[in-house]
Amino acid sequence: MKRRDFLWLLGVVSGSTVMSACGSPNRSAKFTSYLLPPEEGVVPGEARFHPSTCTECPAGCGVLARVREGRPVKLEGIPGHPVSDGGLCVRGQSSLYRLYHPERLRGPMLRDGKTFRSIPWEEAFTRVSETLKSSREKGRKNLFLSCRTTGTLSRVADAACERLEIGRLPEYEVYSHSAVKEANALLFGERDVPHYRIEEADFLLTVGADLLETYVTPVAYTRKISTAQAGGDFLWYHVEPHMSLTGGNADRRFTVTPGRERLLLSFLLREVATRKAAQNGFPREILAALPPATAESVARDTGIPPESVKEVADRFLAAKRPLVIAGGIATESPGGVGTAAAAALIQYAVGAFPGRVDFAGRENYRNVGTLRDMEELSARMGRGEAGVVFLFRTNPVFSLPARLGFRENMKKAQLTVAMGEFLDETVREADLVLPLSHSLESWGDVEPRRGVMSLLQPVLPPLHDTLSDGDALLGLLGSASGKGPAGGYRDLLAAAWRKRLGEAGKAQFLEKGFVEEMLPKRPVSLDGRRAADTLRSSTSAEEVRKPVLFLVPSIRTFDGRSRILPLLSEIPDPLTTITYGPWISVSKETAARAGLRDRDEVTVASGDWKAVLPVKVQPGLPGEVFVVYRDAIPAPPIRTDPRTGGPVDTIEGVRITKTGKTIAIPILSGSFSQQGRGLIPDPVHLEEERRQKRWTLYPEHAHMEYQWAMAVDLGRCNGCAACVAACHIENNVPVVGKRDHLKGREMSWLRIEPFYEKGEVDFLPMLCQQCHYAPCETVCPVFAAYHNPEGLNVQVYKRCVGTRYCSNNCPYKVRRFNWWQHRWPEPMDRMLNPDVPAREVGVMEKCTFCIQRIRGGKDKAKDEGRKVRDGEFTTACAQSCPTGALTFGNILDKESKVYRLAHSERAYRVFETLGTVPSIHYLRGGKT
Amino acid sequence: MKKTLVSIAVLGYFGVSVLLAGGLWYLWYRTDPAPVQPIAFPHTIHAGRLQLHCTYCHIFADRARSAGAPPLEKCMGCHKTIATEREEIRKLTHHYEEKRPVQWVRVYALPDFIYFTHKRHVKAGVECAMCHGDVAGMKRVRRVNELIMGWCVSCHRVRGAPRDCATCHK
Amino acid sequence: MNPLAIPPALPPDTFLLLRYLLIAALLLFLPFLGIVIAGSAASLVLNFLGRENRDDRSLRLSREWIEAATVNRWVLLLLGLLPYPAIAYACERILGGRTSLPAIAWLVPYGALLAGCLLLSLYRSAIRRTTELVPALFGAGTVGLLAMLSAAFLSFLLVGTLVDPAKLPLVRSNLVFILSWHSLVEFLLFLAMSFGLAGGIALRFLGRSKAGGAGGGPDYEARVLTAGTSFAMAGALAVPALVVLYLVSLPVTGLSTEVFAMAATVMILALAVFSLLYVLPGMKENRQGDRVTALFVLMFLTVILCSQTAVANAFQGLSAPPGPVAAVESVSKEGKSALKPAAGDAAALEKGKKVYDTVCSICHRFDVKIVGPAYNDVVPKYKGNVEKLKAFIRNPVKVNPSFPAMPKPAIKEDEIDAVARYLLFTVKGGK
Repeated sequence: MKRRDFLWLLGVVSGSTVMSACGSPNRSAKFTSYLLPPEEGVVPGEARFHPSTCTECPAGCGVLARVREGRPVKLEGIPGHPVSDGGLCVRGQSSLYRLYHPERLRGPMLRDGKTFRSIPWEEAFTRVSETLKSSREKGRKNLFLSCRTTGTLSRVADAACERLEIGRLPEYEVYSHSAVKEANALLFGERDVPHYRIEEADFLLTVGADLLETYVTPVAYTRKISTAQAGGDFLWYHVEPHMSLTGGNADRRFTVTPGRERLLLSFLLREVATRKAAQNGFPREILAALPPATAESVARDTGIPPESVKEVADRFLAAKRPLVIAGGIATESPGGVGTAAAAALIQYAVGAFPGRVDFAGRENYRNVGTLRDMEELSARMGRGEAGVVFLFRTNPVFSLPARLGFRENMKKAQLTVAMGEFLDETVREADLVLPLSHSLESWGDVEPRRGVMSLLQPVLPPLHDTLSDGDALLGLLGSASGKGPAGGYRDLLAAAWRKRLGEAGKAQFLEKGFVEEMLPKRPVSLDGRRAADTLRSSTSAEEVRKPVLFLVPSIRTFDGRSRILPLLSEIPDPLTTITYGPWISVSKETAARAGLRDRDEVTVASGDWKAVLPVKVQPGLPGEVFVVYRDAIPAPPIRTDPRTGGPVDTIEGVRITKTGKTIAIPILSGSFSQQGRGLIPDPVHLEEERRQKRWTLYPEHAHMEYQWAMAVDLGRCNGCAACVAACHIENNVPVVGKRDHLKGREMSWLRIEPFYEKGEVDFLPMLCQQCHYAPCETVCPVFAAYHNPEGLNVQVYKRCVGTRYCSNNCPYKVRRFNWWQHRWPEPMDRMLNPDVPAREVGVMEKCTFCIQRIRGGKDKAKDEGRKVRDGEFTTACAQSCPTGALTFGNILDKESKVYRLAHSERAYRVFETLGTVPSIHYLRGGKT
Repeated sequence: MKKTLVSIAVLGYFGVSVLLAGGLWYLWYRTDPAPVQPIAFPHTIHAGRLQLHCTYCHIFADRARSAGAPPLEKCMGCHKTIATEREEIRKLTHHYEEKRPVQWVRVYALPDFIYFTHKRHVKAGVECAMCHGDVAGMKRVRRVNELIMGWCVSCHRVRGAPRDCATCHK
Repeated sequence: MNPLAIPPALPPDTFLLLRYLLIAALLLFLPFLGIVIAGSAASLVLNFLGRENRDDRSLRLSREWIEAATVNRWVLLLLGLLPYPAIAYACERILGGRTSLPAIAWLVPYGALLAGCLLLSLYRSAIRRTTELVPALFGAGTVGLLAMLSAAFLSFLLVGTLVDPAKLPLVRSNLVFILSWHSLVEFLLFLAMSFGLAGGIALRFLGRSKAGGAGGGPDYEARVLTAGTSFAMAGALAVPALVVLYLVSLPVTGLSTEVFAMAATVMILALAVFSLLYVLPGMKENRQGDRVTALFVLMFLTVILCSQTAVANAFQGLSAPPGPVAAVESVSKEGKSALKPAAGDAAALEKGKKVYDTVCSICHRFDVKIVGPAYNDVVPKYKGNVEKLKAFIRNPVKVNPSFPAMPKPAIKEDEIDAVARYLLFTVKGGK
């Protein structure tokens, strides 16, 4: 401080001018007093937790927003929530970046030639109401297109549209599950996606559905699967035409020829019907409609070996509570409805209805329309029939195929009103832009599935001049009809809740953040004739011509909507570890044949459409199958399934041509192979050496009260990277960008390493091991890295001078250096967790086991005069993990979970032979 | 010639020293230990004559990380009727009525990377005056020590408080 | 006793007097000590060199210097030993009970001082007899010099504790906390000024008597001139850098504008010395010696004043008088002694006492008026009527023109009841 100032001054030539630039900023800091004392229980400087719901994808996981100084700094899943049960996925954790994104729309805007100019809300509403009237007079139809809405908002939108004579179009979602819905409608009269109670099953067969990534409600499914696996007798087989994260985590995975899933399922249905049908009164006509098949013929057609086909069938039949789920890419291909129907029939045949497959608690996709509905809309607009078109939280210009001409047809409407958060592809084309508040700034409720209502409440006042979804609709209503409901959306909601739940129920709802109703089970009645028809019409060969390109949703960006969040580009894709930049996944065979290597630039063409992408060789992809994530291709050349109206996300007969150039994309993993180093030992690896007592010159550490340790269950970890996002947000880890990633300078404290061995993929979360004899501690010249009495390897940022020797010496390579002074552009600086300092340039950082949480936990325990209890607090990564793979605790406490896990026979440590004695115990694959 | 050069050199040396001293003065001046507050609140009356305990106003000193300034309502509790003719009280009343919180100037400020909790220190029996000095005798609150790490560590050492770096360094 | 408890503050007048005493004592003590140290150092060095090189002039200079520096042995003893106790007393009083430095801490430098004075006195008498000293006496002189140096250093350490009172409670537990950079820098500054002053003395007093002894004459005078000038110049040139270091090492709580002004003055005085000796030629040495000596004495004075101003600044606002903690204690004691009631009332009285402590005690005490009247005066007027007192607390009206209107206390009904009962109980003295 003073001495440093002095030494700095000595180097100065002209003293006075430079002296004026000096001075500690803290000294002129102000602090503001309250006007009124805070209410009971509110302590300044301590965080409060408020329940709300994540809206990053339609799943609707309940979150607790951790609020510091009047703004949310972290989101955590609500324990006990019917959807998320305490977990939160990588996108949910990153959704704070959406709230604080500097590019969010700041106020209503009106088109002014090629740009926009800001206008006040009243003017916007007036313009809308005037245009509504004038278009009605001209005989045009006013239309309202929204994303999937549920709960009160959906009812308000319906009421508003009815009152104002606006046609409410079927809701638009890129992943509308049209084939599944169509199949269920034909078979059971239920046009919706049912709720799958996977936790009750003992054998799960998934066909195409990417349960762990994006399918309907991924966090819930992940939780259910890990609950079922913990039960002990759960087996999960996955069938897919490509390679996905879900497939990589299943107990067994089978690659099927694209488009031929239906044949496998038909075979299975035949087996089930013939060997088990007596129990269920299975309609004979359905069996008759099935094509004749044997295991060998199925094997021939689907590319799955015959013994595997038999195995699947045998296991399915042997299971007491089997469940099959078909969805995702399997149903978004030609003949998808047949696949979905076959799966539904199998579910019916084994008696999965109404327990394991439940329409009473269905996933509320009934109002979501199909791609065909969007075709019709575009055509209507093109014909000049549209008056005012509202586009509420959708981005059809990006996601609809170019052949629909949505962008051009939009211009033919009298007035397009885009309501959203960012200036995305659709909003940019609109005439009037009405910005909406983020869900964390709004009141509302969502019903992710029937029987569950989850609360949306504001945890900070709106950052910009935006209105919440409900208030915007009510404002439109009020302005256009001359009178709106008295009070705002909040009052409307309060009245609705009071009516539905009663006063006490409403209070509890507001406190807990969700309410779950026990719905009576809903039996289904199978329409056998229509089922048979469906099966029969599906047998006409629908083949998918190879080479085929699959357009799939990504765990990082869902249908592309989350690609605007910088953190999600920073976190590597779990299978390929690519961070920035789109790519095309290519199988090893194709790469070998075409002489393609990682990063080679190729042109991908089909018909008129072309794209230029770098290659990534993906182990596990079958030959002639390519995968590109949805967010990489705007306006993709997908066709509509004539039977369901849904999208066919397969592009057949693509031509891949090497251009000879390379595109630099950051691939963070050094190698997909463990190089024989036994990072994930399977089977028992180096057991003898592991048990040996190691001779060491270091003195033994004495831990008095606490010794923090972590257990990572590799059997549960599925590589979803939710922990990575949680760590980023909790610890103010900056997003460094593509340029640094290309140099290999990642910043994330926790990384998920995928290893492909023997046709399987395993994920190893690697973070600072908090070694007891840490190689980094001994080489720091200024003692910035040291071992504290509680077993942590502490990095003191203020002491660090940036030698980087510690990172050099670390065998796990988990230390991160701040090469730059990272700036957080306004308002992202409000996202910073005040409990964790922002590191300066030239300082080394790494995982601290969330020492700020440890400190907080110990402080609380000390207030109550006791020691910390196991499970009282945990690290951010462990908290967010939907499978519960990470366990943190005090290993000196023999009752703690981490003690038990660390002493289980599956436990081992990475690089144990080096003698670093890490505090993180990994558990080999297997059951806990 | 040589003498002139030497003279100039030495005069330059003296000049630089004086400038350095001036620079140090300026630096010190900027870190005003007793800053002027928006309302001239005298602790001499409240803590001195009236002998209010520190935690009467600074209610969070033993409950939270930072002691903070009292809410204006507490002041108005007495000053709605007491000493209302004084200029400073009128300023206070304006703030309260216009719902404008007072922006006090910080006297004691620790840097962002330090975790300091008043609660633990007060509960451990550290008296307020040990770090903040004789506030009851100060007409304008003055910073009586610079909160240097060595000072904190020496007290921790003497009293047996944890000396682990992670105790205070976030 | 809690080692970190706050000792009671000195009344300001006492503090001022003690500081004046300290300044006066330091002003007497330090320049003289400095001259003695610098002079004896010069003398010893010159004597050694003179004997080595067979240089009469050096030998003579060595003798004359120590003579001038120490005047005579009685002066040496008196001025060396008398001001120190005053300094020690003043410091201990100012420090109050903070350090409770063991007596040995003050006695050791004093002993060294004594030993140094005696040894140097011995050396002085020896050298007056003959400049060809026997090694033992030379050694004695050296040891004496070292003793004086260590005494000076330790004194600076001890007096330097005054300038960082925030650290003092820790000195009690471990004397090592006495060490500080500031004391070291002050000591070096002291040495610089001492050497300068010794140079000035040399210029003023040496080489005057033409008579007697080997090594006289114009060469000798030239030697004196060189020696004196170089000492003075060295001192003067070292001063600015050391003053800057002094300012840097001074604990920030000691700083104020006056301190900086005085520091600048010291530097300007040093500049004046330099100009006198180097820039402006052709002055007669003696008057230069006068001026140089005067300037260095002024420098001593300024530095001492500067230090003591820093001490005053550092002490400002530091100690706490018997404070509110004690007051609340006394109130509670009062309340506690009254609390020997029947079991059922104990809870209500406890609650009432709490309400009093947190709400009413702002303005009311039992025995003395602060804002509102003393309870002992007004509560008896209610003649034990709880309801009447409660009604008043609920809705206070201005009763007495000499007291401000009582604001309506924001307490709940049960608290009003409790505090009313408590007051009636306490003032009556145990009903």
